Amino acid sequence: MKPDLLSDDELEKLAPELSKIKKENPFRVPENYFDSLAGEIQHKISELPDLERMNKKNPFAVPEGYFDSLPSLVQQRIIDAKNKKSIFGEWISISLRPKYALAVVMVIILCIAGIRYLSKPVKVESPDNYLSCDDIQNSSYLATMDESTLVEALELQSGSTEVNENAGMEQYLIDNDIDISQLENHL
Amino acid sequence: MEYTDHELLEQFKSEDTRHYAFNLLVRKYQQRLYWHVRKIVIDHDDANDVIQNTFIKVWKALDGFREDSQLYTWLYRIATNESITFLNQKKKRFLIRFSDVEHELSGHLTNDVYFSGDRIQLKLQQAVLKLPTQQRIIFNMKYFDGMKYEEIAAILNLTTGALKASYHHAVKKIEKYIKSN
Repeated sequence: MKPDLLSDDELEKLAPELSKIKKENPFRVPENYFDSLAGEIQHKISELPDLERMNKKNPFAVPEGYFDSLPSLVQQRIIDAKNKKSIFGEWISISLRPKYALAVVMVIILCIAGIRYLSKPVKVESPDNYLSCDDIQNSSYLATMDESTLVEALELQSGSTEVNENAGMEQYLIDNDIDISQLENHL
Repeated sequence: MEYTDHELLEQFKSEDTRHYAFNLLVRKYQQRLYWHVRKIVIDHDDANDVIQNTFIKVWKALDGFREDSQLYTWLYRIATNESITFLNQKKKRFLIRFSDVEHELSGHLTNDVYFSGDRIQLKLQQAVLKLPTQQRIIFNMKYFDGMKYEEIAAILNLTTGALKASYHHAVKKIEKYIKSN
């Protein structure tokens, strides 16, 4: 008895059409296929690269006598590293001695002062200060400028002083008896 | 005289008897594994490629086989994985969906010179090919090979509960297909 399989009765009940079909293998293979299969596989395996053997062979080489000189080379590197370290340590201990300490501190202070002085921001004066009224009047750029732009710029710059300046200009026009038509001709 | 698996493995460990032991191992399991693979990939030439690749993989990995599981369980697992990998590659090669691979295999059956089944047998195989790949493998192992659920579970790394459910569903689906065609 096969407890795992569906019994014939169970199979007939669950799948009556399926149970009528014989459990035959309908597939076939070429003649003598299984006689030659093992040989074919062995042939393929013999053509595989033998990685295990290949791995055991070391393809790299070293210069002659390399391993004889390697221990002393390593020792020398260790000694060199020690010496380098001791020179630096000695220099630190000398600079911390009282008779040299003051000089070292002075040098450090001078360095800091020098750095601070050199990094001070440089004041650059505005080019307005170098231009006279004549320069501006004769400037070719002025002719191309719109008066309203100049007026707006002056308004922004002058702010509250505008009233006083306008009053001065009015006084100047009255004193010199200048007519508005004369001004219009100039503009 | 047929050697036990343990004896074959012992002989395989020795360099002198390595090839001889492996040859015996192939002869011992070739038919069982071939038919398992053939029912998955359907075509003989494909099955031949898969079975050869399976044994080459076995050759490469046999040194690392620890006898924690049975040798035939391990061999079946490799053969199953190789068959599924083959079908996946076929799907990629022809840029077709997985279900269409089964459709293509189903069509192949009618012209296969190495298929000797009658009309009913053909219908049964076509019904089996309608199942999802894993369910198809379960059905073949259970229905045709008569393997125990525990053995199939060990090979496919599934629980027996899941296997039983899958097998019963497969039987119902096949019955429905046969009735309706």
